[in-house]
Amino acid sequence: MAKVQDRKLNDLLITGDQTYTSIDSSVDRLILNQKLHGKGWNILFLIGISLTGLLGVSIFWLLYQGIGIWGNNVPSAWGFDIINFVWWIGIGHAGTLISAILLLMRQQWRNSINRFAEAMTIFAVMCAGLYPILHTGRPWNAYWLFPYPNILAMWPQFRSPLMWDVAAVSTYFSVSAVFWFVGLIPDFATLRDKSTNKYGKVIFGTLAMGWRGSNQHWHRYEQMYLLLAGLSTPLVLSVHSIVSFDFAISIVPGWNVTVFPPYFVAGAVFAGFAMVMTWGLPLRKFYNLKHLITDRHIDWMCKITLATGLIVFYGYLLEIFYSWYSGNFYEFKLLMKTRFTGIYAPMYWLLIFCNGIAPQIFWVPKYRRHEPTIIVVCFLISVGMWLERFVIIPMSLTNNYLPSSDKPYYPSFWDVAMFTGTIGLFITLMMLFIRFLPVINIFEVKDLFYKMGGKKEIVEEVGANS
Amino acid sequence: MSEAVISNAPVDTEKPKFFNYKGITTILGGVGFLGLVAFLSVGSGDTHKFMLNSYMYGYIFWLMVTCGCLALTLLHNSIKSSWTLPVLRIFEAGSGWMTWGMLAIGLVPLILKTDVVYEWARPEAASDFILSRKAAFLNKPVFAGVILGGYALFAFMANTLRKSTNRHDKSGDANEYQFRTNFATPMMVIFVSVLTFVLTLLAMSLTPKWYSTIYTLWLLIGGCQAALSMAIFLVTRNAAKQPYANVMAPGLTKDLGNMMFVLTMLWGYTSVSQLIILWNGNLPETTVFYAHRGADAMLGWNLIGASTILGCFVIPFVTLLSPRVKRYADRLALIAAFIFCFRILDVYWIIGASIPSRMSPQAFGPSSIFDAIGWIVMALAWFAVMLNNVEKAPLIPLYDKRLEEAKNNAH
Repeated sequence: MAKVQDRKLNDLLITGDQTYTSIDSSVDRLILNQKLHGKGWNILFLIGISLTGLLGVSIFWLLYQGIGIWGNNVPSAWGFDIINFVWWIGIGHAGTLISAILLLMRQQWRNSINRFAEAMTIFAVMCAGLYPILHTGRPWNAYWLFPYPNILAMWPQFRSPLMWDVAAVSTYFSVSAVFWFVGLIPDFATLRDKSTNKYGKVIFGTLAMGWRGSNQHWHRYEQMYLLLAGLSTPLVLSVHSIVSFDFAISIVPGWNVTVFPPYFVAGAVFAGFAMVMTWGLPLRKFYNLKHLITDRHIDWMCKITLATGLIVFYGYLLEIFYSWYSGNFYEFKLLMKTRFTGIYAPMYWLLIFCNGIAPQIFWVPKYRRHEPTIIVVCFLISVGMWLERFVIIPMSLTNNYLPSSDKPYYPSFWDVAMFTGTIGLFITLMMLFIRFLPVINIFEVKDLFYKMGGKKEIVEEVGANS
Repeated sequence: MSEAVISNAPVDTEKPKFFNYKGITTILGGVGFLGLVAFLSVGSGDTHKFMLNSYMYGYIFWLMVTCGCLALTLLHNSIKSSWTLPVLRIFEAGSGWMTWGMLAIGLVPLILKTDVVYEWARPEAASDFILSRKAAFLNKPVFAGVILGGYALFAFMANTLRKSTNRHDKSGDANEYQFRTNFATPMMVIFVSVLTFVLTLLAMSLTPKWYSTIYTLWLLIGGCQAALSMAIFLVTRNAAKQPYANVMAPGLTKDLGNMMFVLTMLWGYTSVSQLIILWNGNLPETTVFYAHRGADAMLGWNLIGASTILGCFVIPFVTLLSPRVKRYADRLALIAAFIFCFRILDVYWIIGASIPSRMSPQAFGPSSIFDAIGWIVMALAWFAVMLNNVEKAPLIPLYDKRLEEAKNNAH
């Protein structure tokens, strides 16, 4: 492939003296040259697989003993299970947002980050899905959640948002997985063609589904990808909105809040982008991908994180103001006596710090390019978003209308074990993904490279869209 | 079909038509508005009471259009978008300090006669358990202070941005871009926060025991929809005239249509969210918003509410999905006008039905003529201010040539 050194390059999206070949090899070497993955990969994978083992033990014990091994009680019938479910679903939002919405908005800067963000989405939704399935108590009957004709004449309760969740999350997972796989097909073909290993050729050849890169293939691919993007976009909004309905349609203090749907969606994007950066920064550093995931990408992701963080913070302020303005004694009690000063108050104030205060550092441009700061803030955001769900769920459930509800909630060992186990599962799947699949969308980056280098007006368009 | 968009038909060098209405709106709007404000400030009796209640609807409608203009101006400057350039001057003029000044004058009768409109301002509110708990916020000094303070702040934001674009036009100094981005982004946060309190006092407290955390967002999105559809209508109806003819291209109308589509979806999303949550909660203090609006099965608020589902969401959503509609200026003008008309109806459903004296299914109807008068007077005054303001700068910013270049480079 010829060099295009003489062409004008917008070095903000792809840096250095790149060629089509160098872009190919920047990504495919991670798969074709397995020796690149050193001790760091092994250690992280070992941690991940160990924690996944803990998850397996937790699930076994849960199935053997029942959900009584969790800290859930009455009135706090929801605890770590739903906190973690919502947290993982939130993390799974950035992938489809980056892939679908930014695609429809013609934001080509997404090209370098969409692949691993999509992978994160799928793995996070898998971790999330475990909790409600296990919380049914009889997960082998989980298929009863779907409406199907049966001799028991039993139908799901369609008026319950928990049933809407089943439809929303399963649809989201299916569409995201198809979207991810379709996007991978041209890259599988590249790997098939470049693979020198017999197994690689067979596996990638099978996954490439006969892709030859013909005009007809590209035409159909583009159409399908666009259709899937159009289908995914409302899903991004609907999934977390429906998750918010799990709480908002009830009358538990602190839950019957009309701003919950947009506030949950913003929170999900906030958490998702923080997680994308938590993985993206080490990835580009340890695998020398800084020319493809540039400081400009990080800068924009920080800006989106800041913007969505402000919406979330605005949501916290609305909760405070309207719980007073409502004149409702129980809303006010929840705020003043439980959140501000109760036994869980430190968690509430830590939440305000993590989600409200810490991300404000991204107003300063230099910190949007300072990797240690970004990593720390993103970690704080992940913690903060988990705390947000803790604040919403046990805090409200343990401060209900009845004095008998004032019974604190404490997680059990198995709650914590299962949560760390899902983190382990997520790490394991991400590490396998990094090792065996292209972490960056090779053909889309090459397409961007062509547009940046080949046509003046498109260079300007890319710049304008930025 | 707009020739300016799809062919190389000769370009009309006349000014856009809307300037023709400047004189008449200035006279009618000025006289009507000042007369109405004077009457509402000093009058009394049943007619005065009817008129003041009706005035609330027109006032809040045009306040929301102004807020929509300011929100979209702030958004434009934050993200440096190019699709907003043809409508930017209308937004700037619609949210300039003169408009905020007019709205501040229009607030005088509401400050002087608060108790006519707001239950919380009446003496009996002191003995009401819930209203007495809110008295620290729902009182006359806070009402006047927060709203007028908010208007002053919004005027400052709009004026600062307008001055910067004017300076940019004259000097061509690209640093002005960065100044506006740095200014508009934090201001957007402040704007939404302050507007929350302003709208809680002005609109939400019409039903004083009711509350909804999404309300500000819901009204603001509606305001943005109204402002954008109005601006798009004005621009696309004059697509063949200068300076719009220089920039109008299918890509641009598509972007404008897409933004209307996004706002339509957001409006539907916020409306449905509020309805589902309050309906399912089924608490007396929150369902009060929907109770009388849905109680009359045949005519009245119920019918208006049902028609907004079609007119504010279903029809625009389906129409704007089609690229063929968004490609042509004339078609876009039609759908923009349609959306704007249904915004009028939607705000009527939200505000008109919130007025305490109309909180029963039978209350719809008798005051409609007063509502229409109030809305028309406010509309004339608003357009008078906007049209006088908009001609003070080039209709399309001179400093930004992206649209002209995009059109020239288009195949």
